[in-house]
Amino acid sequence: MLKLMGRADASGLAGPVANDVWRVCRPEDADSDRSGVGDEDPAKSIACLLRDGQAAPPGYGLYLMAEYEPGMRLGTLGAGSRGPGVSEMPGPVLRLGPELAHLDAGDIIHVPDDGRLVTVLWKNSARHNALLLTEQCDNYCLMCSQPPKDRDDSWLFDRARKVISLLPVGARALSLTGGEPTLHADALIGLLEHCKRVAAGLSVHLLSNGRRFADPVFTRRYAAVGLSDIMAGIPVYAPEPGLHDFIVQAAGAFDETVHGILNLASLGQAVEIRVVVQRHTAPVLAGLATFIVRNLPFVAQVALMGLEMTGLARPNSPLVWADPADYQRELAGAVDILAAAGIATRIYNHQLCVLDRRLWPYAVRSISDWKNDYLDICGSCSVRDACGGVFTTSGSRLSEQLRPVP
Amino acid sequence: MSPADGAPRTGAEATGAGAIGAAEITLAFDQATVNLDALQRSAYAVAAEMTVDIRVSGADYVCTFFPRKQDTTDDELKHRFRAEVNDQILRVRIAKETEPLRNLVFALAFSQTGLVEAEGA
Amino acid sequence: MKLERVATALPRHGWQLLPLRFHRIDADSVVLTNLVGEHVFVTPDELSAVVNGTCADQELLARLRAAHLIQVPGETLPAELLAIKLRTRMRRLPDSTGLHMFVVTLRCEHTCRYCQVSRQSAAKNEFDMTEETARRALELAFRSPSPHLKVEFQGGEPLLNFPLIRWITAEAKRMNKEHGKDLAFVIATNLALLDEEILDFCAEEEIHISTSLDGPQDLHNGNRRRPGRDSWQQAVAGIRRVQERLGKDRVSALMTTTEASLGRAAEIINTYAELGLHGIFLRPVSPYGFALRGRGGANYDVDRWLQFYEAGLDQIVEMNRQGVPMVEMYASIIAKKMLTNADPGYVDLTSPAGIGIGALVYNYDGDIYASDEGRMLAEMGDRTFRLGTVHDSSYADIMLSDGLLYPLTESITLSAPMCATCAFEPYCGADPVFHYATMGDFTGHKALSAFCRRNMGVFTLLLRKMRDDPYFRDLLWRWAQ
Repeated sequence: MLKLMGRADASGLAGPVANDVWRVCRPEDADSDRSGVGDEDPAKSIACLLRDGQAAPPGYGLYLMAEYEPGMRLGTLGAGSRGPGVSEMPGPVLRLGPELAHLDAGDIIHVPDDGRLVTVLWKNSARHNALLLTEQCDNYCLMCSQPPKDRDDSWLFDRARKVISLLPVGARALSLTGGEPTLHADALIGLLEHCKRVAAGLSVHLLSNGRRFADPVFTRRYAAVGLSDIMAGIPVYAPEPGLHDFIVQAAGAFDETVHGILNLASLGQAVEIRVVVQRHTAPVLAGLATFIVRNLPFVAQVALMGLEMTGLARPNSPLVWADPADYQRELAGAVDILAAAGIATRIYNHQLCVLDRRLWPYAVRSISDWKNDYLDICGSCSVRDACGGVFTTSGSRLSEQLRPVP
Repeated sequence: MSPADGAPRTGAEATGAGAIGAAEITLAFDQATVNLDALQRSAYAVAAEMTVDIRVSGADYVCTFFPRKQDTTDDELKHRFRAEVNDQILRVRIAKETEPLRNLVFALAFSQTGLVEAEGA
Repeated sequence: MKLERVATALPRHGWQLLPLRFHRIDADSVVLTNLVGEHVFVTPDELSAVVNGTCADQELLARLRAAHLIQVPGETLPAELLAIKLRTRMRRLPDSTGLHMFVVTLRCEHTCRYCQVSRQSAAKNEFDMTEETARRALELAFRSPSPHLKVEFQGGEPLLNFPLIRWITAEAKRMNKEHGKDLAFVIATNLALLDEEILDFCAEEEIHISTSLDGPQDLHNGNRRRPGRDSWQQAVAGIRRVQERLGKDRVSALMTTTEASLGRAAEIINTYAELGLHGIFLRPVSPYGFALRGRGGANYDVDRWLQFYEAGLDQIVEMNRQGVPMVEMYASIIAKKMLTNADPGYVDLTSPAGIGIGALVYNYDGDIYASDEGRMLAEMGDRTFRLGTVHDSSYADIMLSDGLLYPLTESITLSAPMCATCAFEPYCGADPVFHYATMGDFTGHKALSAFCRRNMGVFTLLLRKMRDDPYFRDLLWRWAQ
């Protein structure tokens, strides 16, 4: 588990930090790391990370010092106690706290004006990186892990644009999430065009409720961007409007979402269907699989996902919680139908010990590095390394059947 | 099915008005609740078991059955035909109710208009 | 919460029927199907309640909605999705005629009891196809719009005219340089004449072998007679040689069911399994041929065949349950039609009928037939399904001939009496040749039709087993792909 946020000692700053998004580089690969910043100014977007008293090469807009000793209080780090003091540095300095010891070249961070809190936006060594584009949404899913907030957050798109500009060479995959990113049509299309310009080879996974794609004009704009590797991940929770609309708390949503998927497909756009397995969806999984096979057989893949007990899922827990151990038959039935039809099927967020062994080949170690953890009892488990573990965000709401696999 | 749905009136069985012999097996249907189309469809559908003669008699259609095999009882033939008529009435009703949607589906299927206009595709 | 669960429930009369048809499976169970064959089982009472708008079972209503059997008035999505599915099913139509059968000779060294066409004549040139006839037939075959072209060598015993098989294969490949079609070859042979030269040729040209295997030795040799009474031994040895030389998947076998086969389903299937053949087609006996002519169909009734079929299917399911892979091909074709939007294009189970559209037969003398059965009828003196001849017909002449268009339009199931209202119409097909041969008209009286009775029996059987046995349902899903 990685911490994506950490405090920093900002006493080495002379004034406000010059920019809010920075890519981290190391002095030893400085030459190769000044390029690839899109339309950003390298002097205000490349931060140099120094470890173990490394000498600071000149020319960076920000220096990050990853020096700390366990138990040492931030702010008491004495200048010159290890390596050069602040006065000897060629630019503004932030001293990072221990949570961010994992920071490394290629990571992208957010730093506020005062420099006191550093947030990692892109962890280069992680398999999954996601950028939140908005917290606004026109669905209000009962088990939403990222509850919608109705406030102006257009700065999130600006920040995402900078991150994409600064993506290190070799960056492979990026998820764009919300909220509902398509609510801001112009900003989203602009961001995707920007992506094509500065990171053409990137694999982009756009998480959307799909409703906006019911508008053929918008879908044509989306397709016209022409990203070579983009897939829309769209949730369908039931094979008919009654249940789906209830789960997403929006009348007419099913109709728009399925129209959206059809429109995307008619323009050759890749679609993934995402199903959160919870109390309402578990009993209709086979029916949903049949619906997909008959009506949406062109989808690139179907993801069957365990519930993350965070956000709205917590207060709605009695309404939405289903113990994975109790729906294995339904899950296997759905997988059988999808697999028989040749539709790529993945099971996400399910611990192997509660998953029917027959379904293990479909299980993906999917929980983001910064959200996964293992329980004490997992220590003796023989398949721990193949298992995604549990969501740290899920708190105590876990299957009662978790146990080490002998 | 209730009689209001067009089920045959099973209480009144004609017993050979104009019948040639006492052995004739007949069943009467009220013209107000059963249409001729349903009776004719039924007669066609049971052709492997019996042939059926349909005549108008007053307010009724009177159906006379001629079984192909001798080992079926009169009651069996009547039940068989009544059940068939019920189903044919239901089929006709469903077909009529759903005809506009059926035409719509076929029109959509055979027109080239996609859900997104063709030039975008 | 903004949206109460009750708000998504359907009130009385809150739905309307989509085009649907029903069939009573048994006393407690009715199957409802939509235009493209999606289905839901209900009870007779539920059928009435759904039609009358009084159903209060929200779970059932949701399933019917999901299967596009009902919708809420004003919805457009179900009709749009149904249209897409219907169009998918009809997709094969514009790509007509992918299978082209070349009867390279009528001669055969077998005298099978059920065969109607072969000749024992030794006079080679009398019943052999010539290169000139073959060339003209190939030219016609390449005129078809289908991107796939399968050339099947038929007989008689086609290996008796092996030089022509070589010639046609080379010529087809040469012509295909210009056309770029997906070209495949099949030889339908009894394998008795298989030798190293033929195996080398099949290996080099990637030719598929289709052979006949009626079951165990006594059954097979009783049906398929040849001097030495060793047809079975020859076939089995041939199958093994092809498997070893060309690969397990390069040979398949077809059985012909005769009265002697009934009651022996398990033995027949075991014969296939022992040979490592993983597919078997439990076929009904054809109504054509010397032995059966004039009897209005098979000389055993449909119900006995259905018992045979069910016993065979049960055996095959049990084998799968125990880990021995075996597919019953007829069930797999129907499963595809029941569970997917694809039309497998099986000639006997499509509407419009598969004649001409699915296959064309070029007889040894250059006559062109709409199907193999049409050719057999001609051998019996009725040339109704003869579409023309390679010597003086153009592709348009053939495809627009009365001999093809009239039976096609007459037999379309969407308008045929009883078919139009039948719940199994999406699974079934039109077989104008069968109905012409047995009843004298292309449509046939379905209440009296052996074709109808047999297929209704198979559909009902498969649905009933799917309803009752989850293992069978999963197996059928796999067979459908």
